Amino acid sequence: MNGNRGIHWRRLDRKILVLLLLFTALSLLFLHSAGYDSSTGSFRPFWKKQLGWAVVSFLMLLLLQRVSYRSVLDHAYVIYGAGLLLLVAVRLFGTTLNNAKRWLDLGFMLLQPSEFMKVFVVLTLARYIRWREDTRQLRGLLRPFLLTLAPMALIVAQPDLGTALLFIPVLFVMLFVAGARAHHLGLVALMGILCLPLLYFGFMKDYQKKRVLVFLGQEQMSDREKRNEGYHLDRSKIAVGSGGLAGRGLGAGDQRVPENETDFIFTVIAEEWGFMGTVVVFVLYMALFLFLAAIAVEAKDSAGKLLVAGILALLFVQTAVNIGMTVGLAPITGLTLPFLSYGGSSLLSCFLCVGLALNVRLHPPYVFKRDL
Amino acid sequence: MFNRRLLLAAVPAIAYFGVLLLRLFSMQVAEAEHWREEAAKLSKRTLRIPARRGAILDRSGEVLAEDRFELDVTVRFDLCVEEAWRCAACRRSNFASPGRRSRRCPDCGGREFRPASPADFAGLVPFLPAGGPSFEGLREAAFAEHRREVEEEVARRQKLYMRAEREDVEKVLLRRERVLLRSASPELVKELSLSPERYHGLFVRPAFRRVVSAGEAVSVIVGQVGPLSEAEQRELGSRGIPWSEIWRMEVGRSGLERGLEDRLRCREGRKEVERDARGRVIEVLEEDPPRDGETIRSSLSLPLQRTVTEALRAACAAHDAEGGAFVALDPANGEVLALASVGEGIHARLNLAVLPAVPGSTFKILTALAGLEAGTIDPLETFTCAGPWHGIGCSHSPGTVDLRDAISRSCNKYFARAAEAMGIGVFAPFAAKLGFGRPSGLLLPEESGGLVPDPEWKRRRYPKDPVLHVGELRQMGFGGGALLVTPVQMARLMAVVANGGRLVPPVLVLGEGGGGDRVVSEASAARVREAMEAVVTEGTGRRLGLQEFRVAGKTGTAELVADRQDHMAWFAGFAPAEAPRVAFACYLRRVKAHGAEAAGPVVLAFLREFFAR
Repeated sequence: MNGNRGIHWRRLDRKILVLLLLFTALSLLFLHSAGYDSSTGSFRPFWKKQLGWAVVSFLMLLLLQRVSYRSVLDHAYVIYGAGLLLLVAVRLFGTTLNNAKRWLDLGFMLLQPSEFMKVFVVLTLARYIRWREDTRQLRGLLRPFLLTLAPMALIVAQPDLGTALLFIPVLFVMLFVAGARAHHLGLVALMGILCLPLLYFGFMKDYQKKRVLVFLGQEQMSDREKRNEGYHLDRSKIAVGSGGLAGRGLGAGDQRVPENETDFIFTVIAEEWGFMGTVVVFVLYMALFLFLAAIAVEAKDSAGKLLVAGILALLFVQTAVNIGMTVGLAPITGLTLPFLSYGGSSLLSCFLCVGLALNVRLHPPYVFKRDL
Repeated sequence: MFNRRLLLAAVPAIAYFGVLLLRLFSMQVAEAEHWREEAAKLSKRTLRIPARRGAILDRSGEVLAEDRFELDVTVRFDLCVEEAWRCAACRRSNFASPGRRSRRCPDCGGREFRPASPADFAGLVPFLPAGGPSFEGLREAAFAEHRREVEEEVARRQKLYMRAEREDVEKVLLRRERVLLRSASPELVKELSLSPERYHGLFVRPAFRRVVSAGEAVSVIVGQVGPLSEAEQRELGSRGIPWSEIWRMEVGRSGLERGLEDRLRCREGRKEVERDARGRVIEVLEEDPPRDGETIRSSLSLPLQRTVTEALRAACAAHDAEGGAFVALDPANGEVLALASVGEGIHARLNLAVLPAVPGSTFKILTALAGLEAGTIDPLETFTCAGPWHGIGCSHSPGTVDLRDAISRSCNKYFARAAEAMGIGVFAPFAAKLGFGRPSGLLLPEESGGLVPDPEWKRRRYPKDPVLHVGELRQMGFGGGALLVTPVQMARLMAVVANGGRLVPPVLVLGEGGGGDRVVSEASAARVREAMEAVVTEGTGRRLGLQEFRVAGKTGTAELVADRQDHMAWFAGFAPAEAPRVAFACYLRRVKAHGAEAAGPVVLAFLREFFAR
């Protein structure tokens, strides 16, 4: 609309950029450690590829700043539609790994559209809710829910329950921040909980059911199952706990949880840097979330505020669930740890999230008569 | 509105982060000890430290058999055949599971992957020993071992009514390291260690391997090592030796290796370590040092052993014998100086020096000693030998003989009469007293006791004819009948005469010999010794050229009943006659020649070497 006129590049939040660099350094450091596996005596250079992705992501983030978030929001429905198409394409032509069809083989990378769909849904919701008053009514909540449930259904079918369930708290937070009445949201949540048995008996695979039951403490695992199902949790707890206060030293860890380069990268940090490392990670995330919250608070228009709030919710829930699952405070789902886990799609989508937030601060807000 | 709501939403978020941090604090700081122990259980590895089995040396310290340090190449099939996927372009294994084939190779960017195959190890082919099996062949052999073990394990489990699913068993056994190539060349080891990723699944492992460095001359007496039998494994297992060690353990199976097993045996050491993900040792938790076996200096002399073996071989070839043995011992203390055995066919692997043979006339020495001791032989009494007596003939010219002549000319009838005169009640116990009929205790497991027939034996062995007839006794008097004697026993008999009547226990370990107990009076021994000197100077052994060493000895030729053409050719004795330093016995199986002619050159060769030093 109004191009780059009125941009003050000084308003680009450099604190956040520095944080992202720190995250990237931490990620590369521990991906290097995670590449070693004493059981096979091999080394996989995760860090090299991740470095490439980090550079690409950083460039994309900076590139994104040239376009105002307003024009992005204006095209939100198109982007949303494209995202849905990608999810359908996964359904049709996807690549299957570990019994899940989540990826599109682009030749140079395996694209995981669900990672991007998270961002797209936040964009779309921000666009839809931005100046509506009907969020105060129960009926007004219907459309935002439908917008969220459509991609969720496609992602659940992949199956990727973890990523799909991530949409729910994001939606709730955005509606809540937008002004939805708490008892309306409570009612919807109650309905959702009542629907859970449907999900449990209708869609969940046996191993997922078992995980839920074990997490709820309803069922004990036999030794054999412990080796299989509880294996991840056991190994992850041992890795985290054995780090102690100061850790075993960079590169000196031995406890290897399967997939420790992606979902369980936190266990490597916790083992090798101990509680100190845990605190470092927490401080980094707290700082990031604080800075993002500041952007949301300072934002001049409701669309910007909603967008940053949604992004904040998205990143926070992922972080909280991922770290929580390594110590048994959250069920084990395939959620990555933002900025630290190995994986191009995940890293790029997280950078895009932060990029959008920076954009909100950088670019002038929507101006409407009503706001004047 | 927005901002208030945002802050409201932040409250549970901050609370959850707080709980999370508390939980991490309690795990990493408060319970750190507990998790540390759990982790130690998982990252603990036991490293083996190989130990060296004791060496066997000859009396001057030359090595007969020792453990040699070697590097083996081992293979783990789970890593290089079944599950490892390799990049088709650069051939490095990238350890991706089959499902991840659509990923790119981290090294060269190739997109095609395939399971590891023997072709991946083509780089090793130039370093394989020339003329040996191909890589494929080696792999096949190692894999055959795996298959065999799978079958055994499945069968074992079925026998115990355990779950015996082949897939499970295979999965476990595939992880076991198997020896692909023993004693790899330094070049091969270098190639393997320079690019471990490329040859993923192959390892270089140190090992000690038994080598009989002195070669053929001592191989039979030194014996062999081999894996334990199942019963032995159980026995060691019940003594608390770890099974991981028992499975690999090699023990002496024959010869000295077996006889000295308890002293030669080594105990592998082990180190409990904690390793990090790169395989570097972080901490040594426990160390049990290896215990090498004792190095044992045997009383054998390698040069003598070599000379004798060669001479025996030559004699066997010259007389078309199927085998032969030679034993030499120090008459003063019983230390065995040489103990050789050669043979054709099955006899090549037997130690004929400790296996029984018909003694022939050499046994007359015992009859003479027995008669003198019992007083039934008067050495000066003469006997006129002419013509067969009770079917017993003599090969010497007819004439009158006393004890000296009877020994030097080897008169059969004289000793048949002597045996009859003393009776089996004197003869058999005396033979037993001089060590016949039982093993001499040489520490050689193969050693036989031979046989001295007595009425008790006859009753047991021939229930239909339970009486020991006088005819059999007469035969025994000059070394016939059912008598069986080992060359070691015969050499010991010679030592008794040589040292003036003491029975020394033959020993193979230097310094363990002893003076022995007196079994024969000095006078009797002297009388027999004098007669034995005459054997070489004027009797049956006069043409052997042994006079130069002043040998006292006795020839023997035992005809085999089955085939009168073949003889057991014996020569036993000691030298020098007046102050004996060595006693010996030599025999050749199934020769066409008279005893002395066949065995003489061996003795001559031995004495030349013995006195040259």
